[in-house]
Amino acid sequence: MKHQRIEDAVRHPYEARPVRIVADAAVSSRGVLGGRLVPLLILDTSDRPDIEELIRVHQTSKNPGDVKIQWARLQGHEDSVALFVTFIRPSEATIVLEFEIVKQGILVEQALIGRAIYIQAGREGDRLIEDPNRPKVLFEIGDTGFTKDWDSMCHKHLARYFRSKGLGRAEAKRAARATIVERRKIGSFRMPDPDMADSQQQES
Amino acid sequence: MPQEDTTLLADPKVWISIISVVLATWSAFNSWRSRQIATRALAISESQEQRRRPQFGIYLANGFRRHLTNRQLFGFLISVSNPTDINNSIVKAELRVTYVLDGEIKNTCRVSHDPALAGTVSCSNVGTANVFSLPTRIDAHQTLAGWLVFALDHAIISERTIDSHTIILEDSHGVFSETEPLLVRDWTNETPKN
Repeated sequence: MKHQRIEDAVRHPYEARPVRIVADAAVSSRGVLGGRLVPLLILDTSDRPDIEELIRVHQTSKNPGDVKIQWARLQGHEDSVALFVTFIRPSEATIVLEFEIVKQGILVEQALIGRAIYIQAGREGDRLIEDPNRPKVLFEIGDTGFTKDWDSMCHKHLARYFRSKGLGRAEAKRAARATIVERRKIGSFRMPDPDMADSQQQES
Repeated sequence: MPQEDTTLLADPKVWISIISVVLATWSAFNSWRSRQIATRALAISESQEQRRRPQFGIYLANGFRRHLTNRQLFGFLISVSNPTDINNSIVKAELRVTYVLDGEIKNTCRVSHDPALAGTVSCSNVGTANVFSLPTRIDAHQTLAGWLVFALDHAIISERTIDSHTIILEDSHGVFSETEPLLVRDWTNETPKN
């Protein structure tokens, strides 16, 4: 598949720079996205006050917003994938999230399985557990057809990583596949909804 | 010498050459004209194609802003024209407010048109008759006029300075038409002195 070149996706030069992910976690809430496990990214917004403002406006807004997403690869960054998130309503902003395929691939995997990502503003050293109620924005990741590309890309990079750690070619491929399977097993966790279980019991 | 000229003209080869030159010139002229006609035809079809591309022309006739306790109300009387050859619809109308954050970084938020606001006391000057109810159909070469009303909560922009506001219309093809930054008059409650 031929990939398109994205050049006009951002309005300001600072929006084109990937925002650093300083911490991550996974959140599963009853009644939100069917209880799926969704990755949470704490972003270093020290030089991006517009992201802090975006999160604040989202908190005050009565209606849910609109967002466009696009998976991409940054030029010259062979070991990572990027997610261009363009917020349209209620506030406009573009955020580029860059994920290292080997180290942060689990976040991409989780975002594709959970079909969403939470973002939270923060600084270096911040952790979710310190303040779980800090404002965050949840945006959905629709099916863009990226999963197929991701599967082969992730497998290739993981196999290369395992080879660099001393495994043979076949072993590295097997280890890569096993890692992906394990990640998916963890990622497919869903928080059971007791109301739903009750209603199902009543129906039966 | 005149005898030689007569002989030259009597030679059919010379006439054949002259006729060939004339015909070649004629052909060159014809091809030049054809090229000109083809260029014009292309320009006409391009302009026809351009007229089939969805777009709106927005003209601002009047606009106001009114400060209330918890929010600001914006009203814009606009006319929307569809200069294209295709029928279209206005799907969404939004006010795009750009305001200044600390460090001269600007943020932009969007507020949707809310026709229900037109009936409120604060918007009594607008009335309900001429307010756009969206989505609304706008056929080819047709113009519609009416009010767009927006409410911007103070919680959204707090004490920040508004840099500009523009109106964005989205059509049924997902194409956006935007105005230039708008100037609005501030309306306050004033009691006339008798």
